[in-house]
Amino acid sequence: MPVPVDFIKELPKCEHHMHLEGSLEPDLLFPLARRNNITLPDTFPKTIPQLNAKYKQFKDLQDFLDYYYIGTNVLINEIDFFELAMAYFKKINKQNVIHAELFFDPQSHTSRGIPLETVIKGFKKACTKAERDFKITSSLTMCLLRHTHPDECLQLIKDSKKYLTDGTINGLGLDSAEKPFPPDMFVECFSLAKSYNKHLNLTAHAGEEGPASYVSDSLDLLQVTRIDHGINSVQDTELLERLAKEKVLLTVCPLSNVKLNVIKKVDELPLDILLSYGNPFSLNSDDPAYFGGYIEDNYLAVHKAFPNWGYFTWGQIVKNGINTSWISKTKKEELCDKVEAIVAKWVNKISDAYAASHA
Amino acid sequence: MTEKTNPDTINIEDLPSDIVQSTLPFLSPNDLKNLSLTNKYFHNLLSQDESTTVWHELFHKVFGTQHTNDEPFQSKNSEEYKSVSETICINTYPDLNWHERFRKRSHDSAFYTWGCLKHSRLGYTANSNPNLLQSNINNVGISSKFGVNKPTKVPWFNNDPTADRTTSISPQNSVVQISSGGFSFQILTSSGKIYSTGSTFTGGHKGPGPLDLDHDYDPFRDFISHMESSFPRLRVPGRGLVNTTGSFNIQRISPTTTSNASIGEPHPNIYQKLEEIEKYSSQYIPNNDHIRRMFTSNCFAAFQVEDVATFFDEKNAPKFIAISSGRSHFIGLTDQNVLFSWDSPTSDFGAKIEFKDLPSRETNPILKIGCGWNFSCIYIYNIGLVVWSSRSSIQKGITESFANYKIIPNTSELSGDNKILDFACLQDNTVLYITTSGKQIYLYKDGQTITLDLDIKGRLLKITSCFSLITIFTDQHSYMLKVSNGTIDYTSLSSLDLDIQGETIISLAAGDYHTIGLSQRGNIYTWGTESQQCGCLGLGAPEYIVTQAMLGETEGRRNIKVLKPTKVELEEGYKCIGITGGGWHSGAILIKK
Ligand SMILES: [Zn+2]
Repeated sequence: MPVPVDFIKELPKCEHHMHLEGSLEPDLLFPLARRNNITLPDTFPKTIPQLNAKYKQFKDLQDFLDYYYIGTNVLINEIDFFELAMAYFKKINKQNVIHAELFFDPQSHTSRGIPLETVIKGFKKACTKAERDFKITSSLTMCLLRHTHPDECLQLIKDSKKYLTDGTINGLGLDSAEKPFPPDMFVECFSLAKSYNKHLNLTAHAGEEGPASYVSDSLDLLQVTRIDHGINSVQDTELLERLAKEKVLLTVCPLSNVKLNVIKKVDELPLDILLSYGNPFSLNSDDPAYFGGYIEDNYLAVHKAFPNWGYFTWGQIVKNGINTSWISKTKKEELCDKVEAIVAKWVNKISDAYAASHA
Repeated sequence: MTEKTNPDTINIEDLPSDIVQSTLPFLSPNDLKNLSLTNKYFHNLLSQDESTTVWHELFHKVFGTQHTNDEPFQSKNSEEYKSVSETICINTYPDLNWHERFRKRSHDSAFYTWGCLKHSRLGYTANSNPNLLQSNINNVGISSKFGVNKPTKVPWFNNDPTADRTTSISPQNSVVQISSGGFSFQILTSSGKIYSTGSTFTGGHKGPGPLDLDHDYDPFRDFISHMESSFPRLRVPGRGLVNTTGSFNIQRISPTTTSNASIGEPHPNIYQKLEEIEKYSSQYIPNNDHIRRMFTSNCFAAFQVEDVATFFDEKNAPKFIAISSGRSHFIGLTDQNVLFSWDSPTSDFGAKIEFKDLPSRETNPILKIGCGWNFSCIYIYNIGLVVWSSRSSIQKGITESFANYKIIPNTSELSGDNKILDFACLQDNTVLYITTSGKQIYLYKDGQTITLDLDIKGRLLKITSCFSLITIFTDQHSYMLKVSNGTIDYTSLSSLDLDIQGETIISLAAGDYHTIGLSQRGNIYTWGTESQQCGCLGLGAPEYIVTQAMLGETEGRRNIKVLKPTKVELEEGYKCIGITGGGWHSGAILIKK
């Protein structure tokens, strides 16, 4: 019998793979468009329910990108970015998220003439407020769009030197279409960023649609310590052994994978293989507004697809996510204690019930 | 090369046989194969084992690496000159004639590698190669399965046992030449294809490609950019119409019309073409996806055609006859005398290199190619040595790139004592060369040519260089000179003579910290340092090297150092006919005795 849904809900969660631009819900998109005097294309749905309906049925990646890119364009002022991030924090506050490491794509905004400062300040203020109001800690990871030229990415790194150096930006990532743009194109970008701040955390989208070698090359060439998606790593058992040994976190996004046809159903995710090799992975929402679910929805989808996982397995998964988060050792210990207490509470409940029924 | 003959224009039956025989070496193996199938005269000529000169010529042509600077030009002082592989074949098969040796070389040779396993640069991983024994894998601390410590056969095309050894000139996928960069190996096959091992040949480093802020046209990026700009556009206050994708600069894409793409209806798979071209341009060795075929920028035209498949048809693919590798780049010369350069981490497609203001390849063909650490060097007939370390970027619709080249002065002599005999490349356009007079070593550096004053005996015959070493061969001795960061350490001059009776080093290769020597009998000798126990010496497990056979000692925490040239044990009955080395890895072509 699967563990109770309430147990899953109660688990303290860390989110490691969430693009802030991908959390733009219709109920924010329309007001922002109005506030900023942005005329949406004639063909764009007119109302929140209409748009919500569209979001439920993307035909393919293009369909998704279509809406995604239009959505991005309503973000103009600092307050827009602040509100976007706050809307996300409000949602996950109800889902027992205790820590969130958030992606943003500066190039989607700077290319529209929005200053980098506007974007970062807006997001950063939301992070501060979320910690104060919801006790959710968070950090920002800047992503390079790999389909833009590496020289442009390099320029972005230079432009954001201040934020990379002072820790405002806590991590560097690499996203967008994987296949024709292998990791070795971005070695210079990653090493320059790291030269600004040796504590900068590095990660890259790899092994979602690209081959397992993109995963190992990201580790070797870009020196990343985390892999976003990474599920194609299972094609290479040697790589799995390495990932386990080096405790490289794979940030898996179940609902996104289904929506983008990487897999047909959540139960096709190779999570049991990852568990057997001892690979830490976390469950994440990727672009929640578009993929029909925030972090808890992803947890519940996996819970449903993997009914054999018990309390301790779930506890281990969550603790793996905590231990590979970019947080202090004390914070890790504190959060892991929390998880263990919850697991113990639920396990005791069962044994109490068992004892009672056999008394 | 000047006698280069176009096979289409010869009417073979009309020619006297000695002319036909002298033409033979200028035909490609495939031409010969076709000729021998369709023409009785040729068939007879080639199937007679007695026509050994023809077969020797053919051997020299196909396997003698005559178009790279691995071997010197032939000169009148070296009439007896034989390339490394010919020399070893004579010693290995003294009783066979050249036809039989040719057959042996084509059918019974295989590619072996050892050393660091990173990026699957050896052409396999610790688990993917059935030929790799677990006992030959070095584990180092957290980096388990870090290196391979014995020459190990690379999974290659299966030898077709039904291939007729008597009529076929050469199997299609026979390994003709190997070369190695800092992160990979390049392999040239008898059918003129270039393969590269591992997941990256650049290691993310810039090679002698386009200069900073300039970059080759990338059809994939262009395709995505177009696709995105076809999306509906937005009217933004103060900025007019902008594309909605956000990922390309507004200035770069001039917005056309507002798209009327109907949102909500099914779209065609926009990535379909991309996927199709991806598929065609990703060709691997059967059952080994760690060795990939390398294509050229010619393939970009596939983006313009409907039928991608025909564009990748073999008939349209350039046929390569020589390769040479630098640290993060390599170049290849085709049978049409066209040069391609793979030199940029942002493109896996070789750029066609042209030389503005130089005469055409018809009158002044490229005779030899070579690579230094970060530049390329070629010898052009009647022009001399030409070097470059950057080139113009490839623009949309144009497949050529122009080398920012320099001609090394006084290297164009066609005959006499000042004719170039051999050249070797270091880094930053620094080239060493010798002439047929065999008396001086010239060093071209920073635009100046000087002669080296070295205590060397004998007439200079051949000069080779690796990333850390220069080797000088004279008619009496051979010598080594160390190089670090492109600077020659003149005090390091030492003799390369082995202590072993009757063994002479005739070819040398080196990686960052290790050296591989090949003797005239086809034995491999290695020495130097195995960083992190990467296994690049090929002498066995670290414990074996240090405590059992006592060949060397540990240095620091994880390095193994072997001072004396030490013989590498090959599989029973195998001889080596070609070596290569780079970074932390080594490679060899072995042949069954
Ligand atoms: Zn993502």
